Amino acid sequence: MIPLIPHPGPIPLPAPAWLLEALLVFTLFLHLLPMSLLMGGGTLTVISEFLGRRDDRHRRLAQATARLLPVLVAFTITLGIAPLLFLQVLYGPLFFSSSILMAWPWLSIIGMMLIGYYGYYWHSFQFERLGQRAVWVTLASAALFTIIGLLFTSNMVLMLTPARWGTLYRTGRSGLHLGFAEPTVPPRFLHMFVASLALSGLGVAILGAAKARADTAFGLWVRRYGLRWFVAATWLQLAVGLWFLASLPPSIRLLFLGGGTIETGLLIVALALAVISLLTIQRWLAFGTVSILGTVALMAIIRHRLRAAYLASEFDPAKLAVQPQIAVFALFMLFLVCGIAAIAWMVWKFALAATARTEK
Amino acid sequence: MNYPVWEIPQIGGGMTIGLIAILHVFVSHFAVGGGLYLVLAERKAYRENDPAVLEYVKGHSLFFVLVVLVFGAVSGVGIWWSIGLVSPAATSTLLHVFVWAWAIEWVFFAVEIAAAFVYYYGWDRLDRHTHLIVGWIYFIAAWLSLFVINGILTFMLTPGRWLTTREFWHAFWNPTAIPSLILRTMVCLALAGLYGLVTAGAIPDRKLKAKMVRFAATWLLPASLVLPVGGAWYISRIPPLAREISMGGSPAVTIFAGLSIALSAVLFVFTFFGPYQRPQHFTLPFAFMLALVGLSVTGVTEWVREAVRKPYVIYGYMYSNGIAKREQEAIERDGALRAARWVTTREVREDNHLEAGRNLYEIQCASCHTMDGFNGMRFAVKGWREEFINFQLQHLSELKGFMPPFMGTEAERRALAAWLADLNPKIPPITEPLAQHKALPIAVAMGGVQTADQ
Repeated sequence: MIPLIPHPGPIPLPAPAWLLEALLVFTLFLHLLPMSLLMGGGTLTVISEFLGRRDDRHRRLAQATARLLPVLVAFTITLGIAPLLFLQVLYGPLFFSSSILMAWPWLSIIGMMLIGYYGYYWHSFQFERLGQRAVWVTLASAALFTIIGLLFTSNMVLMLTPARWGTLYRTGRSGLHLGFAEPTVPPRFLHMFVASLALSGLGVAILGAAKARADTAFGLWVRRYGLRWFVAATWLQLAVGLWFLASLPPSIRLLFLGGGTIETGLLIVALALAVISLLTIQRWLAFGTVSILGTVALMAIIRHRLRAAYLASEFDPAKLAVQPQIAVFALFMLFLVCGIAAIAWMVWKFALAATARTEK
Repeated sequence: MNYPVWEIPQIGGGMTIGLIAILHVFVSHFAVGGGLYLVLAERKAYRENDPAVLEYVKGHSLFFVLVVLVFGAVSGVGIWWSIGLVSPAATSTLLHVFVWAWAIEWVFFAVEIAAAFVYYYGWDRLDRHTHLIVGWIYFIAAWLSLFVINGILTFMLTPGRWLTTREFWHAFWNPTAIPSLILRTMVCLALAGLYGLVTAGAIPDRKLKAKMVRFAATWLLPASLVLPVGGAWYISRIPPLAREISMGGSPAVTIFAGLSIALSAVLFVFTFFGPYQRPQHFTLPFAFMLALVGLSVTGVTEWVREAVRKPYVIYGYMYSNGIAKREQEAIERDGALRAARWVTTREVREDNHLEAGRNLYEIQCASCHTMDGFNGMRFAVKGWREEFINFQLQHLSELKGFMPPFMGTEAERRALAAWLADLNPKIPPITEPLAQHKALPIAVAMGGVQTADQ
């Protein structure tokens, strides 16, 4: 079995690779935010629901976060489509191959997403009626979305490691591989999962700050509670991040430890922003939030550099043929602006109506 | 050929996509038409100043959100997922030709989702006027997303001038784009009415029920008038071979095409004389029955639309097995195995010809055939001798117009024939007249093993 990476096909890219890469990284950053709130938020809701059996504050918090989960699913899926589109355009030969090797687990994501999504809706609409059983619904949905995250990590690593493909394909062509065997998969997933707990903790804190206007005691408690998660998970991330770094192939690891100026520089700035956020967030919630969002954005770029490093000798999108479709791209930008304006207008009207109602 | 093969036992790849796609089409067209249904029903409630109608619309919008936002959105992603797994080469082509169209579609989709949420959660928050505008934004965005996807879908059957110019606009405004857009828009309206009949049929209050059942049934009428004309226009623009396949050329496809027309007629006639004429007698089970007929129409129609595209996945450009036409010459000169990836053999030799045959099956046949299930290979070559299979392989596209030709060297073709013949029990059945006098030599050649089948 000699060459495995499929050739990219004769149709040129409709834009230079750098533009598609920039869109990939930017839309991935947008996707990471609701995705993290969804994965971590599901877990935090389960915990609060269990604690809520004894503590009414946790019960109220769980009710508030559970209502947001279905909306977060919609945001996660919608914002996930764009990066997946650009990924397939740039890295199709790798992505399709690895997906086919794990075809059944990969396709089962659709089923799990459907069940998990309906679970959150059921929970949200029937919270009172479900009573104590509600927590099991959340638990099932949260578990499904976590498994989806794990499968995504697995495929994103499998597409970067074509050396493993041959053995997998020889042992079975029914698409039943999970791809978990690569040593970097567990720490990489855990890195994402712990980050999602941190960001969800932050989300809870922001929710608390908003609630404090109507109910100061409860709101302040929620804010404190959420920040505890944020701080604890971010400290834990230091250990997980080290494990992740240690699990990378040595030549790639070195890039982030001084070997590559850009890679090392990005990592240092990202870590510095995280530390700044940890130090300031108790006092200045907004400043700490912006700072950690900076970390997330840089991590999205670092992740892209990591991918490039993995594929350095195998595949480089910059070498693909390009024939720009300028008019259609311009049309995309135009519709994007109109689309954002339409969404902003609707959300603004919605938020305005909410304030009007509370003030009455 | 370029990509690994996902072997799905029994149902095969096409059916796997089909199962997801048919359910998605049934819901996604409702997602478009249902948006207009909500806005117009809401406006009707305001105009008639009827709070009962408004309550019904609110209930219908919850149903709408649960069906469309969850199942519609997720199953749409599911089609994308499954075509990438089953036909990666074609998916990759569609993505490259239409990257920005997909990106534009994504913008419309995002607006659609956002508007649906604001509409649903905004019932008691927004003033009437704003709420209606949000509903309109939803419908327009949803229809525009259909508009974009329709261009991409129709491209697969009628790529038109793109084949020579490779121009984006020629691909998008292909010969069937407009007739198909009209057909799909009508289907959207009809499905909005069909789903509306389900929710209206569940209303307990008799008077309100009669009113809303009649309202919903009206939504099927435009489709019943326009579909025959639009359908004829559409059929006049598809490739001649595709027309022949659906009109007698392939019995299964012809039967399904007939069923599509017959079931549509049944649906419209029953809707007209049932809920439209006598809304007061309409019942929920009847609504479900109509919905089931609607689902069947969707199923058979989409199946026919896919089937007539054979032997291509992108007409005149790429065969169903993912091999582009332009690759054909090189493959026939240098061999399929040499051009392929993900195979275990690079050339046919004495000691590997069965393995090479198996590789050739994977890269050229397995995207449509399964081993023992749908389009089962073992059944297709049952009782065929190697020489006969070899002959068939030389004339595949002439003997079976909906199959791509075998592409490869003579040695490769013989290897595939040998492997296919090897699927048979080692001695051909006695009932085959051709096989009778050859039975012994073949059995000896294969090692003379008598199997339990004999």
